[in-house]
Amino acid sequence: MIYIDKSARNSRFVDIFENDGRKFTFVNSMEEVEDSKNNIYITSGYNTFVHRCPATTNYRCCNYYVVDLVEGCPFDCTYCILQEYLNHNLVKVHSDLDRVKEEIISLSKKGVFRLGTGELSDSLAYDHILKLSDFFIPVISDLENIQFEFKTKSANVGRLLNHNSENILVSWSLNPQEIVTAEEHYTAGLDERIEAAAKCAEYGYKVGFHFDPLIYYNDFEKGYSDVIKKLFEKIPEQSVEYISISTFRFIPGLLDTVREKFEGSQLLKSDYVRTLDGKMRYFKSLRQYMLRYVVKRIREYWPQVFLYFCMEHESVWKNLLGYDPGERENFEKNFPFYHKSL
Amino acid sequence: MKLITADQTTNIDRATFNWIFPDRKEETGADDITYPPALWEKKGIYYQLNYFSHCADEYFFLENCGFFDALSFSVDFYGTKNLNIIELSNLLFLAEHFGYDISDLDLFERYGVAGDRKVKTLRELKDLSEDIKEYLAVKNFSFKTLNLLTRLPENLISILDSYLLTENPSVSDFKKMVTKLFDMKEEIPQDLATYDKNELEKVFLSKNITQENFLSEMKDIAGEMKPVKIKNLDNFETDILELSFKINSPEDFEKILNQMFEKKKVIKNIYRVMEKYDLH
Repeated sequence: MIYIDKSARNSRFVDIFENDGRKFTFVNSMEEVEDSKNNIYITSGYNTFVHRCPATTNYRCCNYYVVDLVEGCPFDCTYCILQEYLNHNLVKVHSDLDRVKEEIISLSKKGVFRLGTGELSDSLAYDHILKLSDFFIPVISDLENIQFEFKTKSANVGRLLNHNSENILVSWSLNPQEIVTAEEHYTAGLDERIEAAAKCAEYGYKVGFHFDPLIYYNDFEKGYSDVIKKLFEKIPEQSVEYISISTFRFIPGLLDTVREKFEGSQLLKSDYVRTLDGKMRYFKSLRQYMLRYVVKRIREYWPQVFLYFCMEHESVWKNLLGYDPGERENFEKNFPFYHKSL
Repeated sequence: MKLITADQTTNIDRATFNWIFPDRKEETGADDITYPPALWEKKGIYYQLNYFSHCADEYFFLENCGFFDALSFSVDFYGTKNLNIIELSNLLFLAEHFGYDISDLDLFERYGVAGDRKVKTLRELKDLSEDIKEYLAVKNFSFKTLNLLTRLPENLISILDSYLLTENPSVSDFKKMVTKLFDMKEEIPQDLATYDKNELEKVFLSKNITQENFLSEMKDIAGEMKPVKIKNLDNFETDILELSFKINSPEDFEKILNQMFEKKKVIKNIYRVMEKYDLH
């Protein structure tokens, strides 16, 4: 169900829903809306929408920027940090798109940036309803300095195939189908994601892949090998902008939530250690094994694609990729978009 | 409240209201009774509210009294400050037996029982074995642990039962065991229903065999450096080792330095092991 706060009654979303014949209900506040992942709540509340991705100390951060226009996700991934971070289950959408546009334009004047909507929600899960790609893509098309990323676990790319693909990147989080089934509830299957990526690549979009979080399980090697092989068979290397790889990490309270909501999860079958930023991670030895394995498999097929680790220790970079990318501003200079923009 | 004689009440139920766990000493000797036991009546049945094991000649009868008043009388009689978790569970069962919702009773809220999840956990404690109940009654566990415990399958509850009898664990160890059993329940053979330390350790070890093997090797080697202690303070996220020792004289200091020099190969071995595990 869609609910619109009365303060957002003049927003663009009302026109979109009316034109599409979608039912919606006006409410006085969020309290009137059942807190369910199936509900969308449009609000006009003030927010700072564009900001730098929150990094933690001691682990390398790529200086990514995020647009937090949507908070909440219809998917229900076992490992999702939003379970701890947000105080609601419903999908909250801010209606002040003019302000979002201003903030993006303002950012573009400060330098070259990579920006995306995938921090507090899935970028495309509700694109057929909210049509945010129709808003973002024209804004980005006018800005040479911004590379905009739609990050998703859906196959909902239909609307993207009507737009200018310049400076737009569409990316997918990937895991073996058995992990998708067990841990990534309500998301598109692995094959659907890869098919959607192939469509976008064929259309002309640059695509990206996030092996994040890698999850260790009995068939880890075969599972991830098969995913990488499938990717290689469907996606041309020149369409791939980058691939990120990182193992499951979490704030300590998350496992209690997993025990409550997802008993039997693979996440409960491993132990973790507290690491330098206070987050829990696999023991470094296992972590490096997992990362090394995936890097090696990818390199067998795609020797040139830019690979990076999200929030990993400099020693892991040196061990596995042979260099330390440095802190944020130095790190981001390694991305292909940064080279193109110079 | 009025005083009535035993022959005025033919139908006294002494068991239903007995929420006390485990049975208290005063319940065993008739001499301990100071006042006649109290009765509350519903649908012709007289429920004894205290001194549950005693048949008396006279009783105090609570007239015109609702269920919650009767329950409050019974709980107040024994004191509400130190109810254990099993007694709370029994009180919940009692309320629900008579068709009442405990949200109307602030006693439960005082003990942190609020919300459906906690009520459900409390309800399910009732079905645990007497040994486990006795353990829980004297220890102090969070609802988080109790919730996991009540969601264990039957064979794992039996394992926990025999674990208690075999190991008499600390609260911390018991809590760890409950969590491990819960996390690994699909991996534990379904026909295993008693505590088998080796069998369980084999299953639990699979959670992090790499780390366990590494730490085991490290422990052996680091032990060779005694009395110098060797530690890594960040779970081996870095390869920095901290060496520490205590001295109380310059001679001690010199002695330890000499020992360290003689054993410098130990440090090489430690870094060799760390390298083997991709940690250096």
